[in-house]
Amino acid sequence: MYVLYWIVHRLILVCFEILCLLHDVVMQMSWGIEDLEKEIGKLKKHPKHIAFILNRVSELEVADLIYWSMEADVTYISIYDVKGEGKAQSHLIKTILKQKCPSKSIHWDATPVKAGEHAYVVRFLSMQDGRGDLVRIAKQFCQETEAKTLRPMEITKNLVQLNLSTSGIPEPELLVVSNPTLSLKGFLPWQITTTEIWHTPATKISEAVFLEALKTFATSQQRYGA
Amino acid sequence: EKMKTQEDQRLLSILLKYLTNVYMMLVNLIQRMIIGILKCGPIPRHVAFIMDGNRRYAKEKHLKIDLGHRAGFSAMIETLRICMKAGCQEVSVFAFSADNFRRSKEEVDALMQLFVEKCRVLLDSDILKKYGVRVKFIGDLSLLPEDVQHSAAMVVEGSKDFNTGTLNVCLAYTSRNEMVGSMRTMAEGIESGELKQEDITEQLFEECLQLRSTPDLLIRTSGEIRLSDFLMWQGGYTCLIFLSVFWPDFSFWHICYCILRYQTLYSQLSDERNQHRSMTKSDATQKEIELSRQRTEKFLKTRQDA
Repeated sequence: MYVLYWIVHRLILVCFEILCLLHDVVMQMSWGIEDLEKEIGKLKKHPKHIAFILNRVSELEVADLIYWSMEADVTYISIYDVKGEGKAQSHLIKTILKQKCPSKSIHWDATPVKAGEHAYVVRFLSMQDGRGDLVRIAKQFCQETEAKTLRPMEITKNLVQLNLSTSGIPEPELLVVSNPTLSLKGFLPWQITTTEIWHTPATKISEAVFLEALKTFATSQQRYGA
Repeated sequence: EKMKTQEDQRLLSILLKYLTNVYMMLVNLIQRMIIGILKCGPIPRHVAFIMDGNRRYAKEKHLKIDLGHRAGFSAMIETLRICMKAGCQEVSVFAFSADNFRRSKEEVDALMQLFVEKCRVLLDSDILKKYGVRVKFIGDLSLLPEDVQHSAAMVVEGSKDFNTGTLNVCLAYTSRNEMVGSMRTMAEGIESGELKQEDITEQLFEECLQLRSTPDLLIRTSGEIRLSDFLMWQGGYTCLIFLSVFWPDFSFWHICYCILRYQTLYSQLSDERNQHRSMTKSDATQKEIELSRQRTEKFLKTRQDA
């Protein structure tokens, strides 16, 4: 009986995988695009901060993502990959973007954009910036506790917020995950309270896929618990 | 002739009852078979649910919101039952966020009343005993009314000896509060001298959270695609599934779909977790690691017993 169950299970898994694949392919085929700028203009709202979780980092593809995000009027752009390949290739990506859009003012060092300033902030993040940052803050608080300059009860959400390495930068409103599985891979646990998480199993994000993520964000409604 | 119609009606109702029983038995049998097939592959040990969509369900069916929440409770019990049958060991549910206190007083009061009522139902029914499920409440329970706290304590007390599975009910919970709690716990350990600075690691941070076990699968219903301050730390390497069905409509077939998704992605998820584990390995010597482990285990045990 067990053997029969096992055979049926294998069959079901294979059929299910094929169906999921077909579903993804059909969905992607329906996302046609002619002019990204025009399509972006039609959207009711766009995020102030987009983050991308990437499976692998290719300089040209990442440069494209940053460029499209700037075209969509997104001020803060974060590129996250677990191993830190984005950080390693950041100077190449900077060069590509300088050539592509020399007139755009980009803060590469994560200084927030002041009110009225027309600029963009691009950050490359990896595992240390997510959970690692919270552990760093915990260690700092523990040292202050040992030095008797902080009592445990004084640790609050606001105190943590002030000490984050992303302090001053608003939280991501849209997170685009490009990975076979929808998994956050340790991305900034503190900052994703209300982030819309959009997933594509494709390892390369095309213009059409990017637009689809923006469209989903444009139709989202936040209730903040109410 | 009147007696004949009455006799007919009686026979009809007996027949209907019999047919319903047969139908339920068939459904049960099919469910058992399908679960038996699914168990040939990996079953997620810990599944978390964001039970969203009760109010929209009620609105769609032109019911009062309270009935939507009641339907949601039934769906939760049914989901727990199926998960336990499928071999899951832990189920976590997001029942009430600390942010939900922003809702109208009427709705919050109704929810609190529903909660007290359903705690009673849980205690009186045998579902917890039948599946050996102990219940834990995760969150800042001091924010809740006294009668709710009391009911919760009764349920925990009544189920503490069961050890086949665990149901974590997140009440007045937000993930950020939980993470702050973990930092406070670690700082208290340093203050009391039970912990040393080198013990503060990612692993200890996780073990000081109220909900220490990481989910393998996290499912949110009603079509929203965000975590809303739920298990943001623990869900870092979890398989997320967002479904558009409203929570009260969440059924056996949806669970099967989720488990199948999990099984097709299982090898990738394991690779990601293993990669994460290897990247967070400590540089310390074996002796230092062992001493640190002994200190942290002792510390965690005293906290658990408290």
